[in-house]
Amino acid sequence: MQHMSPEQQPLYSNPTQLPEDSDTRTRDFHRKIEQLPKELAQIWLSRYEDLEDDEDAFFDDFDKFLHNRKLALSNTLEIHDDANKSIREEILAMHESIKNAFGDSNYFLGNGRTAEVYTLPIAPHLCVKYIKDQDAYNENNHMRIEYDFLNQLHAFETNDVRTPHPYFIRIHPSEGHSYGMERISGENLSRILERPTDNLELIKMLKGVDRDTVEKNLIAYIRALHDNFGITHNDLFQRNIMVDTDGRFYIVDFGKAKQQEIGDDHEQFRNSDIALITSEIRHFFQSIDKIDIS
Amino acid sequence: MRISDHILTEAKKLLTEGMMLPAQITSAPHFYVAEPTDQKIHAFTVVKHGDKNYKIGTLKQG
Repeated sequence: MQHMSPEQQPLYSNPTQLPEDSDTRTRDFHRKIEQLPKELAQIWLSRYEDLEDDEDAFFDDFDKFLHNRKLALSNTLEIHDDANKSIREEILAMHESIKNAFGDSNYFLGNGRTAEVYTLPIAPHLCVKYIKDQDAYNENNHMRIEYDFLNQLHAFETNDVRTPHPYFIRIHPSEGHSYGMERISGENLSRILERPTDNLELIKMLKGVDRDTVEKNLIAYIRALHDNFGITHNDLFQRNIMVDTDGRFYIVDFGKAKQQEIGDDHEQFRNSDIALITSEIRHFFQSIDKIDIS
Repeated sequence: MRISDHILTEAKKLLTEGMMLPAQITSAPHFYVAEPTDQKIHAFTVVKHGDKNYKIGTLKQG
């Protein structure tokens, strides 16, 4: 008989001891439960035992959980089997670089409430966003959804406004999720105001731009997100607007973004986006006016 | 880890068109598709074209 670790011990001494009147979905559920780690299996068994009605909805949830778990595990490390040894070593080194950059102050670029961004040591023109507070982040979109928004928008640019190009996503249940993207040669508006002495060149450039045109261009971009892609951003504070040294603007952080589905009414989200970005950009330039760089 | 589809798609297109390698991915300007033996490119993943694997990655530093 094949040896099994304690975690692999079946929950039932005999899987065939299920009630005789079990229907197909119930039997299927119990069969799949046997494949899960013990702790996970017990959680689902408890939920099943507490179930009062609507078994179908429960089984749908369970199937969805299994699907997402399979995706997460399959993306942990994706190396083609037939890649030669030196390429495999390069790919593994890249994974180590992503893993080790998180928390290293030498590579820190910026942070938000739930995530931090670091440059990638092995490729300094890229940056990686990591979740730092999983519980708080869970209130937002899953990283995979946030990354999908960037992918949808990667080729879209209007009047020198766009999102950073997305490069890769790394779903890693134990080390944490992260995604890599283009590193913008600039700064977010909030940080420019917080650290003016570190951003004198950007401030000098911003004092010379036509702010009405900047506001118009940013609003046009957000309206295009709404109208062409059905996306509302819902977090258009100064920290999520970046500017580079050439005066191009970027909308970042789609952690609170929503995709309009058929039947949804996003009118309120759309109006909030426009009101917020208008207010934030006007306040930003008022603050820029007060900074003396002479 | 999963590389964005737009990078993979463009890499395959460049290979199909027989572009000289390493070839820059225009939708991700820091990325290149390169011969598997190209030591200037650090592989992030590989893409298969014909019977051969090619690197997709960024320029090595230093």
